[in-house]
Amino acid sequence: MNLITLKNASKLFTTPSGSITALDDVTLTVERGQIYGIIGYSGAGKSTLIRLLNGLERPDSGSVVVGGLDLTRVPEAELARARLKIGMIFQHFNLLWSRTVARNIAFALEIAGVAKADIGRRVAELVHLVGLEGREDAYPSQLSGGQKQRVGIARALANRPDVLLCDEATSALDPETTDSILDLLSDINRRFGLTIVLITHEMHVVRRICDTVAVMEAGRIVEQGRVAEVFANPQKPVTQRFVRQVAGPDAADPARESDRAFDPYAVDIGTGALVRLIPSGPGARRLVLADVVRRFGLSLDIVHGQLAFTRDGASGELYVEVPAKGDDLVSVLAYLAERDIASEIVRQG
Amino acid sequence: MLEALFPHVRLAPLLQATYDTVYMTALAGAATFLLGLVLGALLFLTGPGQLLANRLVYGALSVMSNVFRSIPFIILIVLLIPVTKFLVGRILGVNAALPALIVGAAPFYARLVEIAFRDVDKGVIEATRAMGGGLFTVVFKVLIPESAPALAAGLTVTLISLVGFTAMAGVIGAGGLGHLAYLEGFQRNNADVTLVATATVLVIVFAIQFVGDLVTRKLDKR
Repeated sequence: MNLITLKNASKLFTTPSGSITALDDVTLTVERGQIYGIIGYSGAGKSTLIRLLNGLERPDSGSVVVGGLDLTRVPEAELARARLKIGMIFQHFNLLWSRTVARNIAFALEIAGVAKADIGRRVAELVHLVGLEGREDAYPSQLSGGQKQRVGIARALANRPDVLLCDEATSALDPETTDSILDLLSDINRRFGLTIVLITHEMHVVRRICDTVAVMEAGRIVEQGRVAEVFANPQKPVTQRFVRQVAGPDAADPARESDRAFDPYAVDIGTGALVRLIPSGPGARRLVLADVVRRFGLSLDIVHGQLAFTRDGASGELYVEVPAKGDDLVSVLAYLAERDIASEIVRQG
Repeated sequence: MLEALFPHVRLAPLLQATYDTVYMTALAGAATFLLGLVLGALLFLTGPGQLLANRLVYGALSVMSNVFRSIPFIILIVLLIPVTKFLVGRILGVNAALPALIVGAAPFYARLVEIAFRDVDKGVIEATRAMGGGLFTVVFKVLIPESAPALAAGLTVTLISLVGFTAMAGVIGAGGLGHLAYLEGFQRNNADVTLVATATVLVIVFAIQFVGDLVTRKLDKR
């Protein structure tokens, strides 16, 4: 079921130096429970787009329907009520520095008119949900960036929204903190079925948690679809640039320069085997090779390959040197097959 | 010893004058705080790009505040005599000084309030609106608490200029330490009275500054 439907939305900004088309005839739908990523470079219009979804901006034409309500047609008071059910988090967190963690979270509940007695209980739940136990009385200035964003998330979820809008929510964080915040969002999405719409300029974010992606350029959506499909076969130059961002310079290149440069017969494999591994299902996760090393007491050697991790698992291929033969080799490959990794023996020593 | 150094200083009038100065500063200060907050909030909210953006209202408020801030205080008192007479019923005494003090100080404080509000992170206001917060929430739960240190520091500066204003008002009949220094000290050629009155004014000013700094620091959690 569609939670959000945007139809032919356009928005023009007039500045002293001329007018800028921020959005040009944008149409998209977000299904309930999805994590929908909108990726684009700065100036592509994604900030304006996400602000249409809670009525902070109104389009010049077109319609914005969220949870059955056309935000372009409702009066300001009704819009304010609708926003209680549309959470939003921000790149710079936008916490009140004059309030503690607990009172920042309580702020959203105060706006919703929740009774004082209930606020304390709900705040405690939310603090637990985002993993900030013990920091309730800290001020934002005493928190790290990741902790601040956790407060932002708790605040945005306070009134049990139908959708969470993320405005470059991880762009001000270091890579490790980014991943921990993305994991939290993904976890919340799974546990509560919360719909998430996020905008970002980082391919990594989309790849890690999104189901569906829309690529924006110059106010238009130039490509959209399932994340794995869009990445496997990027059509537009801007999408190809994004794909290169995570997969290295060759991934989007159909000629696969590095593949041609790789010669499996040039590798010295001793008495073992050179095996090509292809992740083929959701079981293919990062630590499988480490498991093989531990279980079989073999020292594997990765000689060539390219992998990318998406929400649905890994994609790509790996050439691995396995120092085993006969039944030993067969049992290693069987173990990998159980974990959704297809294999092909390229050469044996 | 003290009497030899300050032969013309009498304690009772000095205490009365100190009380009058503190009274005028405190009362005018309280009114200035409230009026300045309202005016400053209106200046901020009707400014370009803000929630109640309105060029006409903003322009009118802005001009008014500039005009009243620019009139030298001693002239403002004289200009306001009819208003004072209407409001207070008389033009002499500490209460008669209040209208002029408030009219002189409130527009000044309003500007400081506007500046303080402008320094509040726009993102926080946007977040408040995204959470469904309206004008009331923005003003009372965001703008005022988030700019509290600046509001306190601004009030400190304003109170100190108010002390100066009361001295000028004193000269034309409001009482207080200015009155004492000018009439009993300067005009009667009692330099010791002028000196003691001045020192007392300084003590009041330093006390305001000290408390103001303390409060400002206490409010600042950044």
